[in-house]
Amino acid sequence: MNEEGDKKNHNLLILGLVSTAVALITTAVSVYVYHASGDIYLDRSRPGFLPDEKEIEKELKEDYKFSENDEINNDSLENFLKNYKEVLDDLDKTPNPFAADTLSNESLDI
Amino acid sequence: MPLKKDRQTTPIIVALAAAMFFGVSLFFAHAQVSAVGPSSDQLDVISSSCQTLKQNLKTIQRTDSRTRSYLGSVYQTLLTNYITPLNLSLVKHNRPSTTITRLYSDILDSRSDFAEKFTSYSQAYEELLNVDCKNDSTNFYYKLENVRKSRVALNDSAKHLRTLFGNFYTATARLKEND
Repeated sequence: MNEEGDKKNHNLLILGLVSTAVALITTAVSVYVYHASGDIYLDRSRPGFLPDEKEIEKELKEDYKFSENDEINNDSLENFLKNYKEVLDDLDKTPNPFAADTLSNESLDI
Repeated sequence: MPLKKDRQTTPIIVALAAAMFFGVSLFFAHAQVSAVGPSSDQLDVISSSCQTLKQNLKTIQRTDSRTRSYLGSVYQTLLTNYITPLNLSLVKHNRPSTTITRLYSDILDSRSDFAEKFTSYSQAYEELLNVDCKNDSTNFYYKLENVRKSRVALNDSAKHLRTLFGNFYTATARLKEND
């Protein structure tokens, strides 16, 4: 009877280990495919999502924030405009973010 | 009593008839141009290089996704760190500005419009990628035309939003001058 119980425990242990191993392998493969295929970038359409390491340089400087409690005077507005302009200049680096010629017959070789 | 023909109205009637004729002709000519489909050469190219074509389209799709993500973060930064707090501050310090308030509202509407247009564009894109271009190249081409139209609308929406952000800058600069 003890042998039977030992065998059952042994099988249960193997089952647990195999299940864990299978879960880990499939998760690792999924994450790899998710990155390698570029699908991660499709999910990244949500604003504010954590950026990838190599994209951190492109991230906007978010140090400045105008407070609603700030006084509206020449200095505060000057500072506001200076920082606001920097963000606009950054935006102007892509004046045609979804340009039509990207999908033209020439671009697609049709 | 029969109507008498007026010598003055006859040329007017003729001119109107001619104008209508040309107008209708132009309309149908335009309609014909718009309805021109792909050439047989184009369909052959689509069919033969289907895999490469789809690969290129997927690459563009991923680039668009990164662009959308980037633009989304810029728009959010402008709204959260600049526009909204300034608007609130103006109200709080009893200095409301109808221009800035109106621009704020326009920007919010325009941003929603941009998000909707991107969703429509993405859906059209997915439909395009699901077509078997090797065996159904005609359908593929017309779906591609739909994606192109959606892309133009999306780009226009992004440019309009940029204009509004620029107008907000101008309005704030004017506020500073009047201070």
